[in-house]
Amino acid sequence: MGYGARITRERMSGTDIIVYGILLAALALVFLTYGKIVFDIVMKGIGFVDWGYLTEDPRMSGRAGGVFPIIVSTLWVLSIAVVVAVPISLAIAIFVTEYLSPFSTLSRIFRLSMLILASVPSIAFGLFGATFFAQYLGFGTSILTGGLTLAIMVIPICAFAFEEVFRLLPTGYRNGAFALGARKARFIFFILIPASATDIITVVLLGTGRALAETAALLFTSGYSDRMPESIFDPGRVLSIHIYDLSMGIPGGDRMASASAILLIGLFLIISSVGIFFSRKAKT
Amino acid sequence: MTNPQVSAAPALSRAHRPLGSGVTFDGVLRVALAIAFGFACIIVLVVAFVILQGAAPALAQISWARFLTDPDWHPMVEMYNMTPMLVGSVLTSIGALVLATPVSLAIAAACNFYLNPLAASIYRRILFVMAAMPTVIFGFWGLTEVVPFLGQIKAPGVSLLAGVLILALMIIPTTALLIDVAFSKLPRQLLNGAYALGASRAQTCFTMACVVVRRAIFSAALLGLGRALGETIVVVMVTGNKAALPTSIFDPIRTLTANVTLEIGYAAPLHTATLFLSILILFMIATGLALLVYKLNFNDNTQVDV
Repeated sequence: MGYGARITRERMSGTDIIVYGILLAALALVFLTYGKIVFDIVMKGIGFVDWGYLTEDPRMSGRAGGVFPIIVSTLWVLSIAVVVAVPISLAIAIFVTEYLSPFSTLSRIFRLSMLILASVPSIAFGLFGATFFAQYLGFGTSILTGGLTLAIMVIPICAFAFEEVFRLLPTGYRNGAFALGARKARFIFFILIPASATDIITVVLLGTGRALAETAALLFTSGYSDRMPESIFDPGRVLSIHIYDLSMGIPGGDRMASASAILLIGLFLIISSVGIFFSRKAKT
Repeated sequence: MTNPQVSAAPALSRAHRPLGSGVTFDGVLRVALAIAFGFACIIVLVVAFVILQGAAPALAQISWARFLTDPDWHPMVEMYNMTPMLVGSVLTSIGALVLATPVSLAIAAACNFYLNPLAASIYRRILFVMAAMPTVIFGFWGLTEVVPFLGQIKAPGVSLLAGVLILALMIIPTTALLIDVAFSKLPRQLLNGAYALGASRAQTCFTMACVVVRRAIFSAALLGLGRALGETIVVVMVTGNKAALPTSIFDPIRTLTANVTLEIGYAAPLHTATLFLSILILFMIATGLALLVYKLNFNDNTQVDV
């Protein structure tokens, strides 16, 4: 990474300086725009975020009041997605790394199907969830349907990442375990998973972030209702849909939408930075 | 064989102990993992099948040509011309791609060949976070800041241009990080060789490195294109959702994804089927892009000849 810079310590040539200027301008432009996005939203909405906003029910379709039921629904949908997606993708990744050769036909089929699944538009999963989970399985428009739909979306991301994590395990661990007579199961539960624990946490948080970021797939699956869900079979509105609905459907909802956007960005940044923290720890 | 230590050894490992009639925990685990794996391989087919089934009535009752030749998009009176939405989807995503790819290339080049390693790693972390940022945040910012700004230049503000700009901002981190990874995996000999021949950084980067990683740049652009094409919330929020062919970049447009989001709530059965059909089209395009990326990346052993 970047050892080009370390090799050439001599002065840069004329073209180099011009190119450097252009590249820096692109870097700065993108950086400043992202900074401005966060800054604009925070400045607009920070005045509305207080304890009452977090703990009250929304009033007048969200123009006043708080977002407590929305936070609860968001956490429910996320938990269902993670609880369903993580064990399945762990199992998939373990099977691929421990039981298959990376060059076998089955491995190829796995990569291809995960790649297709990862590039399918999220709205397609929304329609799939609304048809399959809500109608065929009879879960209706509910938190459960939303969570399961998100789980299907997150599985390819997590399975790919877990596979990469398991392939990074030093060969000595594997050889050592099998030389001592460990069977596959013992190796998996006592060596593979504990040794990759921090990276597994990173991947789980990465998947959670992806699920938190989703809007389109949840529109038709977990619904719009801003009331407090009483069970996972009730519909519930997640934060991203609350922002969408306030800014598009409710006149004068912009400022309250910025307050919700601050919450969403905050939650997202916390999840991502904890994830980055664990991955850094694993590297050193 | 009567050594007590040897006979005690299996007790240490539960995996060795049969669960009855020759079934071991090892065997059970293997089957369970294989089931999960099978699930992974068929889930994409299940999703495709469900969407195809939803689209079936439209395929059966409406001829293909009508989606392109009907006078207008008015599903209530059985007019199903999808051309405006197809054009809207293609224009926004291609526009975003054209804008995002050079900027991403510039960022990746700067991070690998110009910035000092610490600054580059901080910048990468910012990109990493922005790549997964909820898209509704981009859409909301576009709606409240970019759209009013464009509206001052030429009304109404919600437009093809707004969609292109916000989608480009949204996909830049993804494409930049993918190109960056390709640059950082360049074999050291290639760089040393270029510098030994007296190449400047600009020459090393743009006449050597970019050529070597061209497949990676291409597949990064394709993945970005796929993200832009499938994006729903951002385009619903900033493009104005007018189902008509645009005459300039300041005109409002509607994409296929936005069309589904806006209409599925009140659609009659045949109308719903046409919406499923439009998603099926996007599904097939996404699959095509994924196959291309797969061919470029996973089936390729000749990417770097050293």
